Amino acid sequence: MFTLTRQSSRRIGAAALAVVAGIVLAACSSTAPTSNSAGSTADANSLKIFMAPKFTGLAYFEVARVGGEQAAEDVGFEFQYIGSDKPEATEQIATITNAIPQKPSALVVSAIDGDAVAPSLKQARDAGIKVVTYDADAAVDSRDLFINQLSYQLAAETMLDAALLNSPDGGQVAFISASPTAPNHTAHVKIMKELIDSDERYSSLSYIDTVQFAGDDATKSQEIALNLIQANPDLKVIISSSAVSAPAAQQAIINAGKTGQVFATGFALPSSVSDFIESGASKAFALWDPAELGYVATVAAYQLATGEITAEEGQVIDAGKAGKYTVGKDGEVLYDKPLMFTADNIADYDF
Amino acid sequence: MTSTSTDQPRKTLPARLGLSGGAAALKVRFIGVIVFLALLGIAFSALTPRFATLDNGRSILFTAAILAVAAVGQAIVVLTGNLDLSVGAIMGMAAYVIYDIAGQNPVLQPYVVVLAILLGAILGAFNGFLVAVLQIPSIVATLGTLSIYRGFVSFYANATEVTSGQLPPWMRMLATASWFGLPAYVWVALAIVITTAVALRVLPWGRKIYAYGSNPKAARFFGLNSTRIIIGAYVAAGIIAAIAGLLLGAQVGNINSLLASGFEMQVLAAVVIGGVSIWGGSGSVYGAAVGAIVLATINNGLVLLQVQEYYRLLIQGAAIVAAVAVDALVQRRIHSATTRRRIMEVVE
Repeated sequence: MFTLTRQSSRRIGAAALAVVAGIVLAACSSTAPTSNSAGSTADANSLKIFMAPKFTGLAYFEVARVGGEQAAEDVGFEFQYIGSDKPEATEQIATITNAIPQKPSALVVSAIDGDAVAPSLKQARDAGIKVVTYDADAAVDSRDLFINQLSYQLAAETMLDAALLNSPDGGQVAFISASPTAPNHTAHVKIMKELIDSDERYSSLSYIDTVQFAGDDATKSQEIALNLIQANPDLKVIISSSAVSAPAAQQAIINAGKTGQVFATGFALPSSVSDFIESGASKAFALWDPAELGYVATVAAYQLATGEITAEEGQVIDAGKAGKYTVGKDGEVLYDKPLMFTADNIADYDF
Repeated sequence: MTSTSTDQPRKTLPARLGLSGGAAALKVRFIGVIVFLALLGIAFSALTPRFATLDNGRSILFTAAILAVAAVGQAIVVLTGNLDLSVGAIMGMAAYVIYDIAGQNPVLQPYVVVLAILLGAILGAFNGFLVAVLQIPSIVATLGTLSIYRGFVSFYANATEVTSGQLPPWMRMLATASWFGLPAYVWVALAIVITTAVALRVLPWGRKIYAYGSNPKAARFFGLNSTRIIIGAYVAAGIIAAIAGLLLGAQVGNINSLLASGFEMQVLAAVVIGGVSIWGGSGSVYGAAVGAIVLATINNGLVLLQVQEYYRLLIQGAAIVAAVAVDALVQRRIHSATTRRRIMEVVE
């Protein structure tokens, strides 16, 4: 109906061409531009490990990728970084499904939706591929190990500590999550609410029950932050586990002229928040070292693939300079090294 | 909106009657959006005391500002009976690439707007070329360029961010500034809306867009160059999208390669709710801007009421469907009115 007047045959031809071009483009974007190999290629039988972030294009995952590449170089195996630049579960499922025929020895995955990608991860496991999740877990039976950057409990405590560094007298907090299907974000919020309700240390805080979802989108995060400030005159701190939403919310606070009255905190890359912390607009943001997390996850995948370790409870992953980690219940491995960025140390981090 | 007919020398009584029937329907359509906005305002004010405050009003207008700018650009294309799905990708590319280049070459920082106009014109011209010259249906052509432009940003950015410290200080100040009690962005958006509306009304270029959109066949018959009209519309839309991208980048602070992805849906929603007919030829940029305010009001009110995200999507979707349904009725009315007129003229 947009082209009522055009010659139909020509139009259909052109449309078909464009559709084909679109499909080719889509196919390319889900694999080609981001794949990159590092490490040894000398041995044809050498192991091959693929790392798939939630989606490509986020600096956070890029830092984890550097860790994976480092592991490949230190240990000696082939490493590829795969993924789509669209933050959607269907895209990640396609990425994983396309990876299976390439027969990697192991997949290192940050699940964008823990349940939605589970069937494709199970397929990979059925094909003999070891699956390790990092950053965001998938359903327990769809992966061998989960390298958890911070236990949900510790993550919740870390964010509340950051909130109290910003607002020492406590006050009302609001939460922004990525989506209701992001298992780690959902768990963080639930535990933060429980801690505020029951833990003496956080008794000066109160919270707004409704959680807002911003889908790791900066624009959306800002709009929500602005609306939260309008909705709640007593709001002191906006907390988000999303490395996109937390800095975006802080920027929205600055834009609205509410610096010093409301704070945003949560997890964020130090490079995204250094301006806020140096200018004093925010006192603290938190994270862990994504490079080391990627390193440990990739080493664990390698050791699973070689049979050095199994996913059973009590097994020990020796990641060399990155430390030793013990496999816990349900194949969960706790990395558990939170970092708190404040004016005193923000200059020390370069990621 | 029906300027094809007003350009004609002879006007018969039925023609004038037919015209006023169509014009009246359009006027009703625009008033409809205003009434809908007022009803939303009344409903939210009744439900929460936090809604009807000056500060909240400012906040809604600030949120709507960038969407309104982008919607104005989109409206120009929609008036020609086409679509521009690449608007979010153009915004993202303008914000990332221009701020990155200006961040590395501080001498360019005063000229970011000039760079945005250039980049937007190029990207828009490419869209226009695909649609007007290669005659690819716009929905497919701009779906393709959406991928191309976004893919280029991903490639260019290589998963790094442009951080707030790299942005030109004057743009950062603009994002936080307040003039005469309203955020600077609201004034900027207002200026762009009015400039575009005046250009569409006064310049021959603008009248041709309406003429072509309301009846491409007739426009061509009367010697209007459809290729030039369509490319012109896309270039204007590209420039406006690129400027919207700069505004958004300065507002967000930390820019990654995904900035404004999916924004085209919000923009199209604003245009359609604002009464710009998806069939082309009718509607105004003022309507598109009001459509942006409607969306911002819905989002604001629902957060104030602590309503879950899902409902927001439902309500926004319902508003879009209702708006298009009304448009379909208006369209049919105009169509029957103008057809009757044409038959009369032929008979004469």
